[in-house]
Amino acid sequence: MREKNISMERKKYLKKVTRNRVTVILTQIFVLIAFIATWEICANANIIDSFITSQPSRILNTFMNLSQNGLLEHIGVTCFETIIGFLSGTVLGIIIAIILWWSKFLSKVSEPFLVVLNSLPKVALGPVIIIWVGAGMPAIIVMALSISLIVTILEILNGFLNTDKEKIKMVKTFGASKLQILTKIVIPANISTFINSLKVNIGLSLVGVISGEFLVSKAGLGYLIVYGGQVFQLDLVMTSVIILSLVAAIMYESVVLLEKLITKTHIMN
Amino acid sequence: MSTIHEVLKISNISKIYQAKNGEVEALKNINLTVNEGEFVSIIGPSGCGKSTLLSIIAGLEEKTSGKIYINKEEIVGVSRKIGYMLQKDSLLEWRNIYQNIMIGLEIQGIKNKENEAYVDELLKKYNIYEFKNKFPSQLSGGMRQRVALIRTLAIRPQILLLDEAFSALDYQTRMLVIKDVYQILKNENKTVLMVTHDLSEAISMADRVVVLSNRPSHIKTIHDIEFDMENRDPMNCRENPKFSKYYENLWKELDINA
Repeated sequence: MREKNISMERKKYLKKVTRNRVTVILTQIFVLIAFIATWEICANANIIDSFITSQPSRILNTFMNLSQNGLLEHIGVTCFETIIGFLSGTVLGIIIAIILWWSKFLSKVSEPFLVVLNSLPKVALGPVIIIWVGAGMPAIIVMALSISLIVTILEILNGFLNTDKEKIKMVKTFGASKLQILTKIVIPANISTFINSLKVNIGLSLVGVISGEFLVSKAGLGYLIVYGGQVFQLDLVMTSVIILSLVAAIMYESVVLLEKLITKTHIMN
Repeated sequence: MSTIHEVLKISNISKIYQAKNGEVEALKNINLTVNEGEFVSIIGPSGCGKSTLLSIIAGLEEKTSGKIYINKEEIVGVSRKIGYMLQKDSLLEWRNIYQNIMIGLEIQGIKNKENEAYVDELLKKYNIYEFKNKFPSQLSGGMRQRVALIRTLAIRPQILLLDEAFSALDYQTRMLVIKDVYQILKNENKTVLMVTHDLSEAISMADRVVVLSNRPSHIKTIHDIEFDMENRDPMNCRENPKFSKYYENLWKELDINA
C-alpha cells in the first residue's frame, strides 16, 4: 500500500482477511482428502463394493497407465471436438448476431424461431444430426455447435441491442455510418458480453461433445464413459469423469485468463 | 463589426409524428435565423418539442416540411458543418481522452496533420493536454463535459447545438461547467443554438432567448438579452438587476400551469 506506517486497525483487518482466505482453502483441501480417504478405506474394508463404485487407488492406477490404455488419445479427441465446436459456435453466433442487429426486419422475423430453438433440448436432435451428417466426428461437432449457437446468438444480440443509445447518438451526430456505429461503438462496448458468452459456450460445447460421443463415437471421453459402463469397468468410467472435470476446469480457466488479458489491454492501460 | 452574417436559417419547419393512435403535431412553422458569433437559446414548456427541433437541425430526425440553410446553403441529413453536444458526455470508456476527442475526425475521415494540430492546440489552450492519455473514468464530471465540448469543436463546426448539455450535472458542477463552456465558446467565437428547460441558464448565456409555445409549438416571442456590462459571464450577470427582470418576463411568457 501507499502509506508506510499502517495503523494497528488496518493491520488487524488485513490479517483477518488473509486468515479467512487460508481457512477456506484449507477446509476445501481437507474435505477433498477426507472424501477420497473414506472412499478408499470403505472399499478396502469391503463396506462398499469397489466393483460398482471403483476406488481411488484403482482410478489412480488407470490414470498412471494413461499412455498405454489409449486414454491420452481419447482426451485429445474430446478436446479437439470441443474446441472446434466452441470456436465455430462462437464465430458463427457472433456473425449471425451482427446480421440480426443490422436488420431489424430479420431479427423480428427470427425472434419466435430463436426462442423455440433455444428452449428445445438439443440432444433430441441427435438422431437427426446423425442421419444428416453421418455417424462420426462431424455429428459430434454439429451437436456441440447446436447447443452453443442459439445461446450465443441470443446473448450477443441482446448485448448489441442494449448498447448505450446516447453513445450511438453521439457518433451519429458526426455522421457515422451503420458500419462505423458497429465497429466504433457496438463491438467495443460489448467486449464483456463476448467474454461472458465465451465462458458459457465452453461449458455448453463440452456438454454437446459428450452427449454426441454418447450417441455415435468410437473415441473420446464420452465414448469411454459409455463403453466403461457397458462392460462394467467402473475404474474407466470414474477416471474419465475426473479427467473430464479437469478438462472443463482448464478450458474455463483459459477463458478467464483471456478475459484478464483483454481487459488489461482494451479497457484500462 | 462589419455586416451581419447569418449562419443558420430555419425556414417553415414543421414536424408531424405518426403514432399508432393518430398524428401528433409537434412543430408548426418555425422560422429562425442565428447570426455569426451569436448565442441563441430556446426555451419552452416541457414536451413542447424543443429537443426535436435540434434533432431536426442536426439531421437525426426527419422533418415533415421546411428547409434548413447553413451559410445560405440548404442542408439535408447530418451535416458536417454542425456540432451537436448532448446531455450526457458519452465519452467512450475504452478510449483515452485523446482518442475520444479524435472520434469525430475519425468518423468523417479527416484525421490529417492539420486537424491533429488543431486538436493539440485546443487541448493545450483548455488544459486538457496533460490528461490526454488518461481514461474517462479518471476525470471529474466537469472535466468530462469539457472533453465532450472539445470533441465537438474538433470537427470545426460552423454552428454548435447544445441539447440540455448541462442538466445531467449536479448544481455546483453545473455552474462551473456553464461558465467554462461559455468562455471557451466565446473565445473560439462560435455560433451557438442551445435548448434548455432552465430559464436562468438561458438568460445567463444567451444573446437572444426564443420562447416556444405548447404543442403544436411555434415561436411565441424572441427576447434580446443585454446586460451592458464588460466581461459578461454566466456567473456575474446573475447579479445584474436586469437578470430578475428577464426571468420574470420569460416566466410569464412560458405560461406554465401546474
